[in-house]
Amino acid sequence: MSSTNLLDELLDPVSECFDEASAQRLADFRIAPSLQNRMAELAAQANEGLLSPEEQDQYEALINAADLIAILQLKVRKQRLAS
Amino acid sequence: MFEAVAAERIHSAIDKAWTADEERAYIESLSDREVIHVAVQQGRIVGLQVCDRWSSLLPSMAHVGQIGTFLLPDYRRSGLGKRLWTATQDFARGAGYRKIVIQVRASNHAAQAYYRSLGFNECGRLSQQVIVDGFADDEVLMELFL
Repeated sequence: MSSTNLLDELLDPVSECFDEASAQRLADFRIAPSLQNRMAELAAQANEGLLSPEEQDQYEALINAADLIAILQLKVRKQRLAS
Repeated sequence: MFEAVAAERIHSAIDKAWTADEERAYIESLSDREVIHVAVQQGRIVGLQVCDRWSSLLPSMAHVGQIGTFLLPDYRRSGLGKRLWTATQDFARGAGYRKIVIQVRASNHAAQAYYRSLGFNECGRLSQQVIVDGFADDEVLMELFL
């Protein structure tokens, strides 16, 4: 089973846990500018190979969390379009 | 390479890898103001950056280029993207571009961070611009003046 399918199996039930108002808020959620700036700072350091192990962990954690939120947003939007 | 990118489903608007013939036709269609830079490791292409014209028809937009960046997952956040951009930026200046525009999927926060780190600024958003597997995603527009 691919990682995409496994993620779907994990996140599909989660994406169905939201009522209409919560789903709308999740769909509209945007990462705060301050966090976007922090991610860009870490990306700039990654570009130069200057990330410390701690910063590397922080950057990976931010990207992974942002990916997870993005996948949930896509799933919620798809459900809202279908309903 | 595009097979790996397309298989991810959430990071790129590319949802189907091009055939070798389609890739060849695209490469042959490029003008002398357009380029593809590739990152090669151990004889294998692991990333590439395309720079082409925003509009091939409108002289009024001849100063605007657009880029697209693709890196295999294991080669991201390693500095290769920056090295590709260094080559592309030099090319773009030499080719007479004054600004570069990028469209990046709203769900691809790593790519947005990468472009912000290069100096690109968000300048707009196209709603439900990409539909992959029935999932509608926005595209964030970013621009950089050279």
